[in-house]
Amino acid sequence: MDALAEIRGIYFDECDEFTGLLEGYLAAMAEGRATSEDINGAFRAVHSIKGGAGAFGLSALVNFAHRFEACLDALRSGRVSVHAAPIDVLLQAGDVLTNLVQASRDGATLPIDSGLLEALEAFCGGTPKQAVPAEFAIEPEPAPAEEAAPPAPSRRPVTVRITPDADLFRRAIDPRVVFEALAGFGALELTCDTSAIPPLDSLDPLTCHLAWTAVVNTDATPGAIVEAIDCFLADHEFTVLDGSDADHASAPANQGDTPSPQADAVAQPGPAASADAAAVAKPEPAAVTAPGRRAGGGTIRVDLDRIDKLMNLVGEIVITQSMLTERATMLPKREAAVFVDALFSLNRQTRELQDNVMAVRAQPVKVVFQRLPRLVRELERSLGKKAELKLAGEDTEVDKTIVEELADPLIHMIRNAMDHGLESPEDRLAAGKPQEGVIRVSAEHRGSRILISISDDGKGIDRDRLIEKARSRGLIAPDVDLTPEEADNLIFHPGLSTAAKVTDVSGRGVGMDVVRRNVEALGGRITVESSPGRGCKFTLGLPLTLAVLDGMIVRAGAERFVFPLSSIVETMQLDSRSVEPLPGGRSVLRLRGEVAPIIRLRDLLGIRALGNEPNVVIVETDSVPRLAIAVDEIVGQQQVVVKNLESSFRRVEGVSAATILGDGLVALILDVDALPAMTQTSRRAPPMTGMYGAA
Amino acid sequence: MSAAHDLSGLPQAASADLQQIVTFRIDDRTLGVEVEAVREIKGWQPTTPLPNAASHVLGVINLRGAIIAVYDLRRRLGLGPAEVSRSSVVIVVDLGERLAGILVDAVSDIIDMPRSSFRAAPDIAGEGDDALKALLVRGNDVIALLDLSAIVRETPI
Repeated sequence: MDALAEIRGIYFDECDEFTGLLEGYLAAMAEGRATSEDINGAFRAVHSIKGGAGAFGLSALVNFAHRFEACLDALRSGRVSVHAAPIDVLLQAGDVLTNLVQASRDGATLPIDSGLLEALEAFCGGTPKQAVPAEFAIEPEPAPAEEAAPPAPSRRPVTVRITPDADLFRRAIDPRVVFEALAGFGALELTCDTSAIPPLDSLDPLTCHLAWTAVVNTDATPGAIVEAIDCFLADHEFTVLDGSDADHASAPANQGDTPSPQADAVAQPGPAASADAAAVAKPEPAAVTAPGRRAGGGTIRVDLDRIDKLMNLVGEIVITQSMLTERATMLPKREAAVFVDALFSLNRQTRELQDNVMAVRAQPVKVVFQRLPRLVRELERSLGKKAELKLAGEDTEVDKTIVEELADPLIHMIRNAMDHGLESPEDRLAAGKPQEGVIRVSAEHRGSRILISISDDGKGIDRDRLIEKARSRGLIAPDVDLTPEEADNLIFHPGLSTAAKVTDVSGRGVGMDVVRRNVEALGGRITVESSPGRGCKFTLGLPLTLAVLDGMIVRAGAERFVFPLSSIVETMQLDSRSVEPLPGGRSVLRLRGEVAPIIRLRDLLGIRALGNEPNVVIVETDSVPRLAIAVDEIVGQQQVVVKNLESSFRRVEGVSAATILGDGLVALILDVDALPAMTQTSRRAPPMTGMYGAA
Repeated sequence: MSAAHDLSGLPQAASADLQQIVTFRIDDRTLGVEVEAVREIKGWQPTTPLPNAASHVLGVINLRGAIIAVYDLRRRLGLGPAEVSRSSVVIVVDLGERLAGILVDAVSDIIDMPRSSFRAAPDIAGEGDDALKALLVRGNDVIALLDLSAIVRETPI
């Protein structure tokens, strides 16, 4: 049963993909730009969900998916025109289907709005009855649209002949899984045909020489049985015969390579459809996908670990190569020329290799974007507002880890835009705007970063309210005047939320500051532009990958450290005239009218060294907007490969990861946000055992 | 402490009663670890120190692209800091979930020891004593078998 549980997990993972795709297809229909490809795609997605649901006995899901599918089939066959279709019903059905998948995964039940079911029935109500494939009539409570289907059959033996292709085992199909699925329908009697097994000396254990005849004593329809096993076997590999008499077997209606939507409905159309021995073939989409998968082209699923290993190897090549480059400078000129030429090619090839491996890990932001239309619809309902979501740049690709981390901030900002940004329809009309607001989400590449912007045409940030709140909480002095930009940026301050009342959508005061922290944890930045009465725009800039990082290498004592470039505001020489000593031995740096606390990296990290640091790196941190960190030398800017330190040692305060520099030595990447807190404890910290590194 | 003296947890050598031990010297002491735990033995290379780590944590090194922490065994055993010399080596050991390097003066030998020669380490609360798993008696010599997980522990129990 473990194997079945695993397959169940894969099924639900695939369901997530299917619901995501479905969302996209439905959005195309809603916008009136749907092609037949979109409609077919939507049908296939729903059908695939239904097929798997049947295999796992998720009857509620099967039932709903089936009704939904019938509507899409009506569109697909042209019986109902897309333009006449009630798109709202389809969109709502898509949402319900997604919720049902979620509920089924959690083993929960979900009541379905009967109004929606009626609307779906009405949708394809006018269609000829025989158009609904008889094999779909497997549900305990058949939809009225399927009245023509035979009544639920009584318990009788059903014969399933399984004649798998020779590559069954190579496809990693364990026939036991099929038997288990069959046994789920009732008492199973299994006979194995071993006649095709060759003599032992010519036996290839990976080739399947077996065939089975299974007789299940069940009250399930042949269709249900087909659905239960067609995820494991191709069309031509099995035949389901209603009745134990195998002589009534007819050839499978669908040979897989010539799918035809009409032929697959019922093997013997017409009045004979309900006859006892009707051999039932599976619906067309499964037949289309199955041979495609075996054809060897297209796509494969690869374990992420393997790609990570590849990525690590590329990282090592990059390090080795920078070691070689360093050595090249030491060679005599004549020899160096040839060497440098070769290095130049190597450099380019490594770069290309790195880009290609990264491309394997890359995913389009569509994966996250496609969840947004549904979110907006739900928010429209719960907030009583109207909004149109416009997406752009969905195909922009970024590393998988970034895509995953993108979902929460995006969802949060959409909620914010819907809740705080957009006005109610009445207020919008009063302000001379169209009733329906517009939320735009777009993605684009900009250098080695991805820019994602979320904008709305709502009322903009309420600056006065923000300032008033910040003052009442003592976050800004009463006499300080803020520029509009500074006021807008208060939105990222922890503990400030402009919602007048706390709603379940947003307004708990853990809003944009959390978004900013999460974005910065990824090495990204977030900015806001607001124009009162006209709207608000947030822009996220994120690195394309977490595996490499643009860093600034500095030296403190004999040790080198890496600052993430994203946290550096500027670097400069330390001018003693702009240093202001404070009582207690600390000092601050005057910086164009502002002051920045100065800390010495060597004190912070307990490095033994002499002399004054001539340079300072100004960084922006969570808690201190400008922090001046004194260092001995600013070595230079470089892309570094990020190596986890936690897994090879433990978490180290002030350090986010490690990297290997061109000379093969390890340098630590600083966790800038943790540095201010360390200044409190650094005086008590024991010095680093740095004398070995200095050797 | 008693858990550290339990010999039943020792890895089994191929020969049922023999355990192969990699031995090395610190001053005039002979110490050892089970051969199964040793991944490789490499020469000294400068470490990158880690802020606010225990004094016997020398820092991290690059082991063919992997980052591993290196520990000063002398310091851990309360024998003062190690002085790196030509014969100094780092024994790379497998701690299960990660690799670690242990700096020792020099590697001596790989020997077969019968299990019957294993004795419980004396339970005296001296510095570094908790890092011993057992004492192996070999003629007139006594070899101290190290408890690797205790060596890398930063706060002695």
